[in-house]
Amino acid sequence: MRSTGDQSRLFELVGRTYEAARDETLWPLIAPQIAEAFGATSAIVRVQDPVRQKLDFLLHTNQLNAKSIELYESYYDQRDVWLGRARKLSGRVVTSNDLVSDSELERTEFYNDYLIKQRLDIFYVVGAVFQVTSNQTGHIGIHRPRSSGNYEEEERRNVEEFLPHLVRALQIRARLTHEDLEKQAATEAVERSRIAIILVLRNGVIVQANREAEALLRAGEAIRSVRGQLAISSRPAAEILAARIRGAIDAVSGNEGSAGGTVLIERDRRLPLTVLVAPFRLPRPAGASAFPAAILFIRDPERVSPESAALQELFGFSPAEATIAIQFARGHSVAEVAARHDLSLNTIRTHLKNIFAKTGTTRQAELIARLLLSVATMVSAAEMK
Amino acid sequence: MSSTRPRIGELIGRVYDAAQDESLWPSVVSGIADAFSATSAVVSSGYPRILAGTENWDAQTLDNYAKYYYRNDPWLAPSLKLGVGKVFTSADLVPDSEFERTEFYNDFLRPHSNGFYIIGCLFHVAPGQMGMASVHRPHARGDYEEAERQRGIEFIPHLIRAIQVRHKLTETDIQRQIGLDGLERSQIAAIVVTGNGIILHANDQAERMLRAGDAIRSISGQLAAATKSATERLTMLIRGAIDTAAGRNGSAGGSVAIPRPNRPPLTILVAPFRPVQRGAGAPVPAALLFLRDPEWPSGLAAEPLRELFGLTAAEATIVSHLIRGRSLAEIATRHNLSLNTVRTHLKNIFAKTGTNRQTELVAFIARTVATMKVH
Repeated sequence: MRSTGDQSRLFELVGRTYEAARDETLWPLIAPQIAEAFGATSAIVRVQDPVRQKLDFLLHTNQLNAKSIELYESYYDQRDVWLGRARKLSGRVVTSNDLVSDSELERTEFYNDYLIKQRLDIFYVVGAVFQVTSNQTGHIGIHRPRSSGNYEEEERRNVEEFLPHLVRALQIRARLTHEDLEKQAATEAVERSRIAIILVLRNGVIVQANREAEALLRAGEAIRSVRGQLAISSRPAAEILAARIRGAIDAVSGNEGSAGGTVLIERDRRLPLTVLVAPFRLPRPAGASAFPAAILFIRDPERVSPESAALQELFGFSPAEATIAIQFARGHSVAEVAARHDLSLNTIRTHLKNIFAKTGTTRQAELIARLLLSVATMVSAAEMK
Repeated sequence: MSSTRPRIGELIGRVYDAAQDESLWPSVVSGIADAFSATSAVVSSGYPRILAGTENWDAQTLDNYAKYYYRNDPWLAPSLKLGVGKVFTSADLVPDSEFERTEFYNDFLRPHSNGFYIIGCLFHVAPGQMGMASVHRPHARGDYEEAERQRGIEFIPHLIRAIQVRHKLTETDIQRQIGLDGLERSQIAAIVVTGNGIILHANDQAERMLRAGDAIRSISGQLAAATKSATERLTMLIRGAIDTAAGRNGSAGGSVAIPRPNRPPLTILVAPFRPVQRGAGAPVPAALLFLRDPEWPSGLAAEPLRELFGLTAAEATIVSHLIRGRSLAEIATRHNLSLNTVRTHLKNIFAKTGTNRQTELVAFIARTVATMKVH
């Protein structure tokens, strides 16, 4: 017969576990709460990625100190007689009774050299091995000393009630973590390429803008934000952009749409901005219908230039050759480069010949395309500012 | 009462499943109505729009509520006054005799679900976004009792948390999709590797390069370049980047060109990568590789050149040849045109793009969205 107190404690633990799935910083508090909810002295939750052979996630109570955890990870996890046997009963909550007799445990290396020598005061266990995602397996172990006696059926059932919630919370965590990795890698690529991205609704309200876009909007030269709404100085460009945004959003909502397109925005005495407008589609269909938006990619040609260090690394340019190559990549002619650097036409021509040889190109237009379509135009600094 | 316990426990699990799978909400909402002996239930994640309701809340009814009736919902003001996050029942809000006379009850609730008594809660989903959950039953069934209110107090926090988890997952989805769209459109390949060169993540573009295998490939999950010297240089850059990512003194990465037979080299930028991972997850210091293939804009698409600069199809073709490094003579031969015709086209292209020379033209076009993947 279960007491209402047990139940309330369990529901409380369940709630906190899901809270941790949403807010990573709360996980460390979960292990002590598991131990407390199940009348244990220590608890461990571990998730492994067997394909990549790495530990993905670890929670443990303080009683399992750093030293003992290190020993476990480096050696004793292979000798853990409970874990080995629970693996064969994956998905089921088991107690010491289901795994190994007291006398057999007493004879194991795991017990004598680890549990005893590390003074962990652990003898009985209740726990389970479980699958988190297709490539992640986890286990939970809840322990107490010999004097507390073996776990009974009622206690095992309480853990059984908790387990699906723990697994689900770890699944939510895995999804957020994995998507985060993808997101961060992709976001960095875009930032380093100096591509401005703006997410807008049908009425031009800006939902999201990346750093490059924020800078562009702040400069406010040809494109800016007026009370959260995208505004373009040039009237004809503004009209075309609005039409493209509508077309893209119609395509998201499943209506016949033009699916976006491109727009040129002229600037005073500077190279024009170019904008690519596309429908923004979320991977989950239910999410997409609730979020009809267009995604805008904006490039400012004057922000795109190869970096000298990268050109030297990629093509073996000398510093002088790199400087000249950068001038060519901006579209300057041999005569212009010579004038800018106060060098003779012949010197520039000699440099150009070497640059051709080092890049395996034969014509200036070909060279320029090669430079501008390389990673040299990406920001290389270790920390993106 | 204890017989309803396991039911609540199971319902809690289903609510968090729905946070991850939108299609489960309708069945979860019916489950909630059952658990509270109610005839109707609704959940909102962005009040007054309703995320899901029991069958008696059809699309028209939900729309009527979000557009009109929420404004004279007699439960709304007193529940706000009671406090966001507080579980309420009818008794906390409006006397029966008063409720009976409202437009909301007579014109709205009564015709579609005959709801009269309520247990519910208003809650915060995110800054500026309010959520609501409530269950209802007819007048004849009598008001909710203390035990039922207690069940609400036990269950509703889970429902709120599930809605918040759903919100976070959606937010992450949006952020991730923005990044992925940008990456795909920019035709950049990205690979995340650990210290020993094990590939943790590769985007579609990178997967294609690994499969093509003429510059880079994966040997049992480990990244390798096609030539020995390129692999050595790449390994060195990855090590330097990972040292920096791990907080040691590293070279912070760098770039390398990988030669390919009969094609221009692939260029790779290696940078330290520190995935933001707080809490109990062990952050793995990694390196982030960006790869570009200059042949990717496999002939620029004509459409953006037409839209951006008003180029004709013939003019667009010439631009796409120039950016691939072909001379006017080569272009003329390929398309069976006279050199003069090509020159005339080029003059028009210069005029339309505001440029004066081939090099200037290529330098400009290569820095516009025309080099991005348009579709």
